[in-house]
This record gives sequence, structure tokens and C-alpha cells, in this order.
Amino acid sequence: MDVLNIIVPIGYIAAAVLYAIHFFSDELNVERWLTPVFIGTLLVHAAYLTLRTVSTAHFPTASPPEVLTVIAFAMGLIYLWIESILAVKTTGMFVLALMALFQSWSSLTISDIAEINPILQSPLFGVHTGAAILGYSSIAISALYGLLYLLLFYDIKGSRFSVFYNQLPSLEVLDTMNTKAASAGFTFLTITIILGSIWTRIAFDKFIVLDAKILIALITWAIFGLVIFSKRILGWSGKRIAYFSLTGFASIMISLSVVNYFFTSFHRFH
Amino acid sequence: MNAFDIYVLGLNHKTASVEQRECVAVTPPEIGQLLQFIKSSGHWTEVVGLSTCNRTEWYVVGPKNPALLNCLRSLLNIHDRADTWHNPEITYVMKHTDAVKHLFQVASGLDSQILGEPQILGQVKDAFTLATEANTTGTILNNLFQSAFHVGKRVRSETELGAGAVSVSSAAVELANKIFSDLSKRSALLIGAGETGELTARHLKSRDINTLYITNRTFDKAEALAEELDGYALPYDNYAQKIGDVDIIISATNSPEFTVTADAVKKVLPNRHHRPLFLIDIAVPRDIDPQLNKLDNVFVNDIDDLNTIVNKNLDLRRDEIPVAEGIIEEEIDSFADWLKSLEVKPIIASLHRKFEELRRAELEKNRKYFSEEEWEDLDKFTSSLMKKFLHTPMMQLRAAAQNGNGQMKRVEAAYELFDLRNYNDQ
Repeated sequence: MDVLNIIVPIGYIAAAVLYAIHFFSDELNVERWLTPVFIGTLLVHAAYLTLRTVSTAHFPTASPPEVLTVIAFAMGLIYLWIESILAVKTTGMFVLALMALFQSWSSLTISDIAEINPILQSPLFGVHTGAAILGYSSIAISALYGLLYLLLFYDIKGSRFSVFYNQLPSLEVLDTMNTKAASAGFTFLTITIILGSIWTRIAFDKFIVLDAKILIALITWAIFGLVIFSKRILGWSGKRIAYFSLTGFASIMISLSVVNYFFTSFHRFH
Repeated sequence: MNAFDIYVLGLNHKTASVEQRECVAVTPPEIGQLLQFIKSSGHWTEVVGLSTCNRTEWYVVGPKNPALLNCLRSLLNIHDRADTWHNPEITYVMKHTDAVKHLFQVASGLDSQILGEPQILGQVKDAFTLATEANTTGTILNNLFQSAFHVGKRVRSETELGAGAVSVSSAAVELANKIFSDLSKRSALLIGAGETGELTARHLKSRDINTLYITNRTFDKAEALAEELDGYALPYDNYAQKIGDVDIIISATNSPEFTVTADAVKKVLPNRHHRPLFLIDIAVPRDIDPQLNKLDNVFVNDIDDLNTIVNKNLDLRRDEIPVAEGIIEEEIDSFADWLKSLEVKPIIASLHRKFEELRRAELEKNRKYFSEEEWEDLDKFTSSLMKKFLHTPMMQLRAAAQNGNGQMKRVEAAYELFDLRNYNDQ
């Protein structure tokens, strides 16, 4: 398992480098290696998560590094789906770079948890964390497509026509992918919050709202709710939606890092 | 050594002016006549003629006698009022590997005025079809042109030599495609049906634009273009009404004032519900208020932007030249190998024929000693034995051809050793 913990981030870094070479040089010899290296690493990652689940006797969502590695894996699956829809590989560099960052962060800080809090073994908690991870991964992807939208938007507006202009798909496609991922993220976050509140009612016999992470999750949920509302009802497109997605993603990053390392609350379980 | 050579006699946009190119340009029926005329001269066994706006070239196969090219120049002058083919300053002659390389460069778009343009491969194919229909091609040019088509396809699929828009009008449509993914769901308004406007409208049509409105000061011109492109002509006084409806506006007029003002666009923006509007200004002085680019859902790009895109794409294409040249070198080698294999083809045929005759003669001589069934078995056995005996000498002869002229002594020795002079079918 320790070996896999090293192989997985190296695999994602290698895939990110290959995708970057493809983005900047269109090298045909590199293109044929992109998907095999990426899928190969995803398979090793799946094996790593399975081994970890079996050896620690819990699904790896009990600590921030565990959550990060599962998010990286979920992002990989979501990106694989997007790549097959878009039929372009030029946005892979950005997703793979973020996945490599998450996985490296996880691999460097992960440790074995000796004892797991029994309240975390509830099936309801499993569904709650599963939905949260899918929601966070979708939001990360949404933010990435928002970022790519802004890069291309300013490239065209500023008449620069750089490598982003040559390699990225159209603004309309990037906007669609951003909105689709944001909608998925919003749906999963809604499920996460509902199940979380039911579960705390059962486990602690009260509703907990004064937890920093819960507050940030509620803010993120509200931001993405506004994104969907603005898009569907007000017809907003492009730039504003992209900025909203990035803001939502930033609040998640704050939730995952700052809150877990500087605050003590019930969401830090060990 | 082959007793023939491949030549190309031609002129193109690099060597001759458009007036000079006009003098030697020929139509397909005229090419057909010239092909027959050249072949019937008896000097050339195979001929293909290629004539486009930028080049007229004649590919011929004939004896290794460069003097005969003067005859070819004279034959071609039948359609040339200015004796252009005898002018060595504007025509070029290449032979053998240089001629092969030149055709491969032409087919791949490396020799085109607009680097990597795709039409030339189709034009080379048409030229070859004309020659095959006139029955003026043979083994050499058939193989050479098939190799050229292969080179053209490889360069197109393995390099970026044909990538990106390299004209202002196609760059405008490429830019529209970077904002809207599918133009078949979009509508466009063309203001000014002049040459550039018309070209852009045609490019939009080729990308299946859903609805195309065309307006022009002279309404008849707008109407004629709209009819041709399946669009709608609008009176010049009324086009402002469509600004709120369309997704793309292209303006290419000589108007000294803005044809699309900031006020006109701002007035319709609330009704557009944040729908992006792409404005392409292909006019000097400019037709579209550049201040509009500051609005979130409005994109304005002018002729300088389009020229920037064209120049960047041309740079990208130039970067691909070494890769394309590499492909051409590979294919020249493979064609040269095939040509060399032709050199030993006669001796291999002679060798096979001589041994087959000997085998048959010996079999016939002894036929009476065998039953019909035994004789058939014997026929198969001796045939197989003969092939095994000849396998090594034949392989050695093929290797001699591949390894170059120094090795050709082996071929001459084989003629002597097996006494093949009477079996030479050349």
C-alpha cells in the first residue's frame, strides 16, 4: 500500500506532464500515451483505495488526506466521462494538474488511523460522505472549466490569440461543461447537507449548525444555487458564471484546508 | 541501371508572373490533346500534365537524354503564344529524385503559394485521372502519383501543415467557432456584400450557418448573394432591426461612419438576455464601434485581429515544414527502393523462364516412364525443387539492386553465369 501511495501521485504527475506537452506542442507521439497513462494510474489508484479500505476497515473518508485522495479519484472518473463527450484532450492538462496536486498533498500527509470513531461507521454517514465527495469533485471540475472559460474569454477580448485560443474548445462548450458540473455539484451538496443534518440528529440527538465546515458548505451550496438560478432563470452566461464557480471552489478549499488544520470542531474526527 | 528517367518541366508562382503563367495554362481538354501529342512524339513513354492557377507542370518518363527536353518544350509551345517554355529563367527542369521530391512537395502543399492549402492534392489527383483516361501513364508514373497521394494524405494527417485559417474571411469564421460551438444553431447578418464580405458569408455557409441576412447599399447585390447562399436580403435602411436577433454580425463596407454603433447595440442588449453577440469588423475605416468590446457579452474583433490570427496560423504551419520534409524523405526512399527493384525484374524473369523451360523439357522427355498420377506428382515436386534452388540467387539479385550501383556487377555476372542473353525479355 505504501508503494501504491508513491506510485499514484507520480502517475498523475506523469500524465499531467504528458497532457501539458500535448497542449503546447500537439506532439502526435505523445497523444497516443495520454489515455493509457491516465487510465493506468486510475486503475492503480482504485487498487490503492480498495487496499486502504480493507486494511483500515473503513472507507477512506475519515481524514482530510483520505478525502483528498478520493476526490482526486472521483475527479479522474468525471474527467474521463467529459473527455469522451468533448472528444478533445486539450483540457486534460488542467484537470490532471489539480488531481496531481490533491493526490500529492494526500500522499505526503496521510497516516494510518488507529481507531475510528464508531459514529462514522453508520451507513447514513457513508452515503453523506459519498455525496459530499462527488459534490466537491464536480465543483472542482466546474471551477476548472470556469477558469478555462475566463482564460479563453480574455484571450479573445484582448486579441491575444495565444495557445489557449488554439487549443481550447469554444466558449460555449466550456460554459456548458462548467454549468453541467456546477449542477451536479449543487445536487450532490444538497444531498450531503440533508443527509448530514439527519445523521447529526440521529448521532448527537441535535442539529449542529455552528460548525465552521458546515457554515462554509452552506455558503458554497448557496453560491452554486445562485449559479444554477442565474443560468436557468436569468439566462446569465459565461464570465459571471465562471467567476461564481471559482468562488464556490475557493470556499471548498478553505473548508478543507484552513478549517481542518486550525479549528477543532466535530468535523475533525481524530 | 534503369534505362529511363523521370523529368518534370514546369513553371510556378515562384518563377513566373501571373501573365507568364496565363500563357502556358491549359484547360483539361487541352491537356488531354497535349498528352496524346507528347506521347505520339515517340520520345516519352509516360506523361502527366498538371495545370492550376499557380503552376503548369509536365511529368514525363523517357530515355536518359536531357536534349529531348528541348523537343518537349517545342511540343508544348503549341498552346503558348509567348514561347514561354523556351525561357530558362522562368521554367525549371528537375530529374529523377529531384522530380520525385518536387511532386511530393506539390502534393503535400509545401510548394503552394499558401503553405499547406488543401486543394492542390485534389488538383494533382485530377491531373493523374486525365492522364490515365488519355492512356498516357504506365508503371512508373502510376506508382509515382499513387505515392504522391499517399504523401499528401500522410502530411495532412500527421502534421499541422493544413491547420488553422490562413485568410481573413476564414479566420473570421474560425473566431466565430471559438465563441459558438455549433454555427448551425446560429444566425448572422452581413453588412456589405463586397468581395471580403461575400467570402466570409460563403465560409459561414460552408459551416452550415442557420440563418444568413445580407444587406448592401445596392440592394440588387444583396439580393443576388442572398439567393445564391440561401439567405435573406434586407434593405440597407432596415438592417438595424436585426441587430437584436442575430448572433454574429460581419461588417465590410466602405462607410466612413460606424454601421454598428454602441447605442444601437446597447438598446437591444436587455432583450438579448445575456446571449453573446459576436461582431466582426473587416472594414477600414472601421464599421463597428470598438467601445462595444468592453461589454461582457459582446465580442468585437477587427481586421488587425484577423490578420494576427492568420499570421500566427501561418507561423504554426511553417513550424511543421521539417516534419513534412521528413515524411517526404521517407517516401522518396521507399519509391527509390521500388524503382531499384525494377532494375532486376528482367533478369529475375529471365532466370525463372530459363529454369522453367529446362524443367518442362526434362519432364516431357521422360513422360513415358510415368503414369498420369505419378507425372502430376513429379510436376509438383520438380516445380517446388526449382523454386528452392532459385530462391537464394533471386534474393541476392534483389539485394544487389537495393544496395546500389556497385553491386550491379552481380547482376551482370548472373547473366553470364546462367547464360540468360536469349531469355532477356527487355
